[in-house]
Amino acid sequence: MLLEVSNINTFYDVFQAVFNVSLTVDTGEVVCLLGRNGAGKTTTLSSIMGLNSPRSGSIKFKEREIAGNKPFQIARTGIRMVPENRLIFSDLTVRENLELGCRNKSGKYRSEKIDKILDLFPRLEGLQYRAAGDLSGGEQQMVTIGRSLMGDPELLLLDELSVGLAPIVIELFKRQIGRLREEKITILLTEQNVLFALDISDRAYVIDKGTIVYEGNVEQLRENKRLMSEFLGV
Amino acid sequence: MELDWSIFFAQFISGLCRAMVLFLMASGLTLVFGVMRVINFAHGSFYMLGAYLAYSLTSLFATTPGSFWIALILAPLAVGLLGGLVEYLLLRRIYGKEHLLQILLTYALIFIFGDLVKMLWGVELRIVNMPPILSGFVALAGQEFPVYYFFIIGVGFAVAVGLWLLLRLTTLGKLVRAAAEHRSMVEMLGYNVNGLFTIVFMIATWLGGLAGVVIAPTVRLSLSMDMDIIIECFLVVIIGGLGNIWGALLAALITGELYSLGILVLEKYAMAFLFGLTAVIMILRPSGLLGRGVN
Repeated sequence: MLLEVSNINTFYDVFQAVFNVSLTVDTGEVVCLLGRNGAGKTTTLSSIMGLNSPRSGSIKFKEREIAGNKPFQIARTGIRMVPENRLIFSDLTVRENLELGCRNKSGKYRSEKIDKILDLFPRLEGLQYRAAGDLSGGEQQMVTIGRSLMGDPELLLLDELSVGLAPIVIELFKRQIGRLREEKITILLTEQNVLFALDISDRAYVIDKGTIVYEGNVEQLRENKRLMSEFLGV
Repeated sequence: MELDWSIFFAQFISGLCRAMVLFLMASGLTLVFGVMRVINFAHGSFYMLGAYLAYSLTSLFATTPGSFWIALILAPLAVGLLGGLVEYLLLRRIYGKEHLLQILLTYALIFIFGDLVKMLWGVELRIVNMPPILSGFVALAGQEFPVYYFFIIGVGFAVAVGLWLLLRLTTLGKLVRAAAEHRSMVEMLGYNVNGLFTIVFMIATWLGGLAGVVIAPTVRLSLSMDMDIIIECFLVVIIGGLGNIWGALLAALITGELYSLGILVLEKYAMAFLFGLTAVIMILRPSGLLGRGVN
């Protein structure tokens, strides 16, 4: 198992946001974590990435315990996160944003990686030397995904990828995530856009009030009208 | 009253000189705030330490030609290393905590370094000799100017260009700019931001130490020199926009000239012009001339 989260409990000061959450992601899988706003999706990803370490429980990546480690240590094990609010470096150019995603590598290696990202997102080709802050929401999202891919992640955490994006852009991301699957990049994503997430995922978890209430394959979830309506508002 | 242009020009050069010293100081102060969100009240102490170390080094190497140049290299380096130690041992413990702790800590450092200077160098005024090559005068537009003025202006502009190159062209500089905007994202890309902060603080204190060495031959070194400059530096940082180095350069040029030319108009109240300008900027543009606004 590539990622194994077991019984984590995560807090914001005294407020507990995640209760005994357990989930697994195997190599090459695309797994989604679904739930309403405030259900605990982002907190779960933040716990894995070390932004808000769990107070108890275990997070194993490639069979090594990473719970409690700092984000930069976790990133160096091969995990990258695309946060919901993108956190684009607006003052830097698109190319500089991408370059920073590739730590401790030669200029030649970086250039080759950037070429691959531009192949994945051709829209960025003509925007390379523009300040990233001047880009549209969809273009910025391409930069943040590209920046994360520059580090050759074994596990990519995508937090609310589709938030604020036009349907046509969401369709584009659907295709590009398909390409990432072909390249055997493992993905754990959170989404409020349930249909988008189910279309691209192999397995799904549903979280509500900080607790996992469903775990299984996406087709079964799609057919479970009660779950879809009660916990996902579909 | 007819304006004497040669006096005006003399004051302009003097203002430029003052502006460059302010910029050397304010650039470090604003860099630390922009990246680390730390208001370093003790920045003046690093400036004072730079000046006193220059005194010791020029005394130690008094018989060696180029003793000032040795001090110009070694003293800021020593101050930068001390800055790194302060960041590693003290500041690192208070990131993300309430600002009051920062103020208490950096304010306490003023007293600690002040007493350290008193213990090591005593209370007597100290003088650093000007290097012979820079101790002459140069005639320009009917006035004579110390060559050292132009040295200070040159150092200021060299540092501005150097900082521009560092921040624009190097990976370190890009990381600094990125961390100033989203520290957590830089960390999520695998960079140790704590290490980056140590480097930033070392650069900032190196700049403070450099300002101290550069100013040393033009003043008498005293225990109050840290506080004498820090308030004006804070005004420069505020006018320029908190965290913006180019804002600090612009504000240093404006305040340096305003003070210097203000003396021509109201000699005793030149400093009031600076406070007046700060008040006007705060009303019209609270985030400073080039600032983007900071929460």
